[in-house]
Amino acid sequence: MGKPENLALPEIGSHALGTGKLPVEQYVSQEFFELEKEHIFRKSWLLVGRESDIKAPGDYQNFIVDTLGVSVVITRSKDQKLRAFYNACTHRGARLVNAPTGNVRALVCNFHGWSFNLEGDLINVPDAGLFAELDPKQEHLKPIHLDVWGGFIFINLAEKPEWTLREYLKPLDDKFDRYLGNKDWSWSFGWRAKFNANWKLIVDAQIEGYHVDMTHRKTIAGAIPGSNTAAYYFPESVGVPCGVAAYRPEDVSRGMQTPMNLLSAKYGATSIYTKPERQFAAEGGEGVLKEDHPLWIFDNYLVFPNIVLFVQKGQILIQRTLPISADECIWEVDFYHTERPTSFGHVFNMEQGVIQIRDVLSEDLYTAEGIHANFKCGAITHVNLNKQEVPLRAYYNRLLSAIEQSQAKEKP
Amino acid sequence: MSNATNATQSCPETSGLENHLAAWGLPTTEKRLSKRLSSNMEEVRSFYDAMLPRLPEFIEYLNQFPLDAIPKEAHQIAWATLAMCEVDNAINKWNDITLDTGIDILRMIPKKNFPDRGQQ
Ligand code: FES
Ligand SMILES: [Fe+2]
Repeated sequence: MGKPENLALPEIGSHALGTGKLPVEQYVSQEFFELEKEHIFRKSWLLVGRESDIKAPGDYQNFIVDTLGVSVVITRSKDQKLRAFYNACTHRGARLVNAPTGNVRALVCNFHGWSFNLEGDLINVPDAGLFAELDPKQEHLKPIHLDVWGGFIFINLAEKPEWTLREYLKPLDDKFDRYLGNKDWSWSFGWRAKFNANWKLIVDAQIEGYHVDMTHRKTIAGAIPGSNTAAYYFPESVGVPCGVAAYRPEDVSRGMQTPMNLLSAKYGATSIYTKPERQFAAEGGEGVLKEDHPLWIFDNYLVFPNIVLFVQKGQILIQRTLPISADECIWEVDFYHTERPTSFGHVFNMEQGVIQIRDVLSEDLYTAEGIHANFKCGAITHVNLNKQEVPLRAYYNRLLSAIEQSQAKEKP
Repeated sequence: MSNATNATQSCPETSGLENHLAAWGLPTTEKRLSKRLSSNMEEVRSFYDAMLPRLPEFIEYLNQFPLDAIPKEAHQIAWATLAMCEVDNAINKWNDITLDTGIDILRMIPKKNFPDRGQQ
């Protein structure tokens, strides 16, 4: 344990971004949603996958942005490079792949058999002589910007992205890139669910600590007191407007530690809410993990527009929410660890952790649909935010500024 | 953690637990979840109370094998031990089969990998 003065927690939040109520149109207005499609989802860097899932030459992943109708195929070619293309055959527009993932020697269109190599070049046209004039060089698959950071694949649908991925992600710097990109991370478990709610309401529920004591009163309340979660905001950042840090209570006996929690804690560290007897193992993390604070558990960061990335020692947790329409979304959560269980004790520990976090997430997800309906029917036109909820102001500000900047660029 | 390849402990005595092991010794988290959802509190409590005092011994026994070498006759014990994780909150936090302040847990579909979005 650190010296007593190290126990000081960061400021819980701030009024610096204002104190007024916020309107709610951005959650329910169809016009606003059209602006988001055009100026947010077509312009932002979007996290679409993990580099290690597309490892071998010929591996591909098909990523769909439902609301744009955009299907992206991401390939790994023999030169080891990752590339992204619209999943669209240049003959007459058919989709080239339909499975979410796979391995192919070439992308062969099911309609008439045009085939493209993994670099996107048209390499074969059945009965090519039937075409009066066909220049294969002109028929390359339409490329999409792709970059990798922290082992995650991001794409950007803009013709020319405003920012490089690294500029976009500041203040998350190279130290994060190294920690998250460590090849020891492997996917452990995850869930997905559909909601009749605007996509941002699912994000909102993860970027403030004010809800913890009440929302989680039947699971983890006390183990992370709401007063031990601190809000950040990064007004200068393009793609990371805000985040939350969580600390254990000074009094470790707070929170309900069931006999099952205590027993499982002997065998591993998989539950982020149970003080483990063993720590997660992870390489590196200097400048990322706040290990000099004895109570620190995790930081999370909103990666604009739709990702909440939780970073802790030995565990990464990613929550992704994508709209289907203004009123519907798909939420996904994925966990990465650096250790695989090799003994039953660890399996037991992991099972306890998986079930605890599953139940906690089910609480986080409980309010969005009701809120959405209340906004939509007009019962609520404005919301109140306190200083601990400053990340929601930062998120809102970024949403508006991103749209304004993009609109300004398009004006002749 | 003991991971000796030469197991010394023998399979724990389970007489009196047979019915619980048969009912809850189910091979996947999803099956154990459905078992909880289709049980009443009395059944869940009787399983929990019978298993809890035996858990440390079961885990220590199972822990001595490499994961793929846990003897077949101990699988039911292993799965029932994992089922205890599934009923923990119901017993210790909710005093109810389900959490009434969360979404229906069956709406959360377990993923198989990062790109898994089900049928598209
Ligand atoms: S549309 Fe692809 S080959 Fe015709
Ligand atoms: Fe929460």
